[in-house]
Amino acid sequence: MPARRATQQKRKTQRQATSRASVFLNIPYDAAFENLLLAYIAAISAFGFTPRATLEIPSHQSRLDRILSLIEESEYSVHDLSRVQLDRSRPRTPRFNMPFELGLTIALQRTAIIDHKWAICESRSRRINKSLSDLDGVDPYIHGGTIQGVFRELCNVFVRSRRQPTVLQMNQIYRVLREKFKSILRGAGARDPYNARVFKDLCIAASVAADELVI
Amino acid sequence: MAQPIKVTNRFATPYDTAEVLGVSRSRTNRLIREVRQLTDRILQKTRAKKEDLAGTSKKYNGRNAGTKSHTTKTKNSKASH
Repeated sequence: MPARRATQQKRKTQRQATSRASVFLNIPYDAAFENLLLAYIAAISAFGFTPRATLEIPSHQSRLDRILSLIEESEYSVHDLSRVQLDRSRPRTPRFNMPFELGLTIALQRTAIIDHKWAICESRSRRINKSLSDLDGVDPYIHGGTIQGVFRELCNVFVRSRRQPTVLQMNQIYRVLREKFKSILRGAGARDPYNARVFKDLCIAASVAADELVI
Repeated sequence: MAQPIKVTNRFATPYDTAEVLGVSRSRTNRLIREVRQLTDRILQKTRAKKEDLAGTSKKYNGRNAGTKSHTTKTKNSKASH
């Protein structure tokens, strides 16, 4: 089918254009995760990647289509499955978005984007054996819910032959993000970082810092 | 333990990131200007710390050498005197 082939070609071209360095970041969006969001952005940028997240998706677009294209456009993805408990707002439910997006990624990787690579992060060891036993045999990276843990584990996930960042450099990028955070929030008129403009500004700030600090 | 992912991609510049995320050139330039002020400060501090450490280690060597009342000599060097 020519139409389908054209779409596939278009997707391939899009992927090549952005494959310079994109990481799809699948994380929970809640206040308790704010520090770790900044840590993930700092660490991913320290490796010379561009973080992508569903936060970028404008509300008028079909969310599911956009999630799929975000995953397809990214060469790598990091899935944080540490938020498995019930949330605070009523009706209290666990968040299924992260495992769902991991499932989409694995399905796409098996069918359409074979060269895509993914990694799973958790805060507690062996918990994933219970919460997602279908992934038996896959080792998650355990960050312990700390900023240093995220830096350490992403250094285990990715290896660069040139410009390999250190945890110290990631810390410096994180400090830059922390210092800029309030003014970025003010500029966007937002209260938290789970907002398209704030997320994009944070990613660019982290990219500038990484470009300067990671030699 | 899972195998690490070997990365061969080019290191993304802030302009690459802005292009991928769809951020305007002017906003990117403003962010670059603001963040560079912070990174310059960090780089200056790191440089100062390194210089400080280098100074301390010299002092440390000097103090050790100062407390030594004599140097050890080999049999050969003693014989040559």
